[in-house]
Amino acid sequence: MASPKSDLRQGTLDLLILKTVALGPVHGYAIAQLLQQISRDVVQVPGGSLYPALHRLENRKLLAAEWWQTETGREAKFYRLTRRGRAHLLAGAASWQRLSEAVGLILRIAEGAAR
Amino acid sequence: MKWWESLLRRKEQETRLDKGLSFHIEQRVLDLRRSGLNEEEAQRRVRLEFGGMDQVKEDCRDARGARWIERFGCDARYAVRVLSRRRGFAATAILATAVGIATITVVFSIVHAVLLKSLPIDHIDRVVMLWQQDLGSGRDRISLSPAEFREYSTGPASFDSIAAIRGVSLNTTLGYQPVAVDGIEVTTNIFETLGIRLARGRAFGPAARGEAVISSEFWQKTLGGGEDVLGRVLTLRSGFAAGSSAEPLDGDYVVIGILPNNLKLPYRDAGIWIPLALHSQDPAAAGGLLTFGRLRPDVTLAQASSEVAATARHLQQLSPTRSKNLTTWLVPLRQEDIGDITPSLILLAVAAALSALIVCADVANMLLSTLLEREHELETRRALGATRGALLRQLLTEGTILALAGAGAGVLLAIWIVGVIARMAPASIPRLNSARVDGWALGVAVVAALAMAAAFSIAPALRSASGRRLTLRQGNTARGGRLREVLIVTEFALASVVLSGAGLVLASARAMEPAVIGYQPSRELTFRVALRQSKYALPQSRQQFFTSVLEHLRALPGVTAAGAVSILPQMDTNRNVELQVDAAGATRFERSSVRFRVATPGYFSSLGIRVLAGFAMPILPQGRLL
Repeated sequence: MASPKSDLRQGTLDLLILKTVALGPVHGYAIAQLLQQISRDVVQVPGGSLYPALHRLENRKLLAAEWWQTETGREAKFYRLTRRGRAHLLAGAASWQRLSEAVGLILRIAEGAAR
Repeated sequence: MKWWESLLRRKEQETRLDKGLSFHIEQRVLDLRRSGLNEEEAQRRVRLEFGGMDQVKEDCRDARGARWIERFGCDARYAVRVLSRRRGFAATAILATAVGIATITVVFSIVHAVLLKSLPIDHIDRVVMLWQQDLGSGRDRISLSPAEFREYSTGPASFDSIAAIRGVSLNTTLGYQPVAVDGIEVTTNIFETLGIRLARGRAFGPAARGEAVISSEFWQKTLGGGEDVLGRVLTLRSGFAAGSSAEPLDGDYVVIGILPNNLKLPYRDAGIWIPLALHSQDPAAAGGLLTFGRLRPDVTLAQASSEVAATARHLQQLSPTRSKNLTTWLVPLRQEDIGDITPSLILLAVAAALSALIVCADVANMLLSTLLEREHELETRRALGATRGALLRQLLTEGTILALAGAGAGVLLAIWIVGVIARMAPASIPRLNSARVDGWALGVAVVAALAMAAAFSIAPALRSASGRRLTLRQGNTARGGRLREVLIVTEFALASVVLSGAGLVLASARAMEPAVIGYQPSRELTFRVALRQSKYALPQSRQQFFTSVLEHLRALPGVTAAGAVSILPQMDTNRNVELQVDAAGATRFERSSVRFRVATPGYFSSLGIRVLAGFAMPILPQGRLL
């Protein structure tokens, strides 16, 4: 199982987490599962990267957390987006979009086109 | 979450961290088992995915912030263990630091009280005292007569306002207790001239007669500090003094205002301020007015001085008999207040800073030499994976703990020393008796301690972080040896600077003493009596009173001599007589003025004053000379 950990920059991981949380209050494990499912198994975030990132985002007040009961009756930490987190997500998504389009444009240039 | 919150709720946070992570793991195991793995295999897979549990937790804690303080706690505990294993070294280092911190704190408290806290006067740099100077006799602080004051207060345009005060001895009665209190008569513009904001109440109104403003100290200490003091009536009797104002001041005065704390005017520290009424019949010769002026904002001291000098020439023209040697000069109030002690205090501050530097060098040197003994320990820690940063932090923590322990002891020492100094403060140094180790001084002590902590740790840290191993190789010892030599030489150089500095301070303080004042103060006691002017109006009654008091005093066992004088030595008299000096060959009589004291014959023997030529007054059987 190839770990994408090294391929995923910290800022990118933060952005993905924020986007996932924006869908509705979720706990850490669900975030990992969602990321994996939505990305069709390309993005696999190990707990060792996910949890420090969650703590960091909470510390920066981009995420807020509450302890709720899950369907199975266990207590889990559910994250939701703060107002700051939402602003951060919008800004981050927009800049990522711009960058990826730019990168795409460059990579699509046919070889020899510059001549 | 604030960093201190996370610090306080650490235990709770740890359990939550555990709970959160184990939830994740259990869920994952459950999912994997659903996909067909057995329990054991599922557990193994999850552990692999997750990585080292402790590492993950550590990363989470890092992400939360506030780690430095936890780490400091750890380092501090370790440092205390290390230091308590070498008690002798720790005690010496702490003692040295304590002495250094105490020196700095004491000197700062003194400098702060005397130099930095100035009088509660608005724009004190614009307030000057106006004195006359007799170029002939060299007397430099001659007070003004009412006539002269009137001329100056209407003449020069350099001033926003000019006010005068005159000292007066007052008696009052509190309950059945007679109380003597120093008072001053003031022109009613004194508050705007000095720029004083009253602590309570109001300044003198247009009909100021019968109103009094009191000092905070008189209110607190003598009147009990009650809130109902405004509106209280004080019955004042002016004490007898030769040449005091024509109109008796006796009467009832209503307290209308309280002066701010720590307002001590130079030469006249008074508990009660009452309005000064100047009359045209005041004798031209009677001086005694201390004059204050507030310069206009756009006027320099030099401009004002030349303008005042012009007024002095004008006065000369008005009264041809006036001494030609009499000029006028301006002295900034701040200079009058602080006087000549500024250089000594600065010297003292420099000496204190240097002694602190010596302490730094000393303790750093000690730490450096112990570093060699600790090589084994540090090498072991490094081998166990301590980074260079961790070792540096450790050394810095040890230095900080030494410095803080020393600072604690030093501040206690300083509080005690400053207390003693404040109690023994000579009156000639303003506000020294109010010196305290206050918040500012504590701040300075803390900053000094932190600076010392850094200084203590720099040399050892450089040594251990020099990238080299700490083992005693020959090259290495040579390096360390040189560093220590430099420190020792610096230490000796600084020590001699401090010693000579302290010597200079002592010498200049000593120089003020017996040589100048002409007698040896050692076993003399003094007290003041201000006789009621109305009751002792006749000279004979005053004579009788003092003769009998002195006789009773001489009869006391242990009293060898007793005398009386109008004003104690070293107190400024400002009471002048005019003399006509019939100098040989002079074309005309010239009036001059000298300061004078009225003394009983016993005065000279009481203080052991030698008379340069001629003889002191004999004690006449009738006590005629008083």
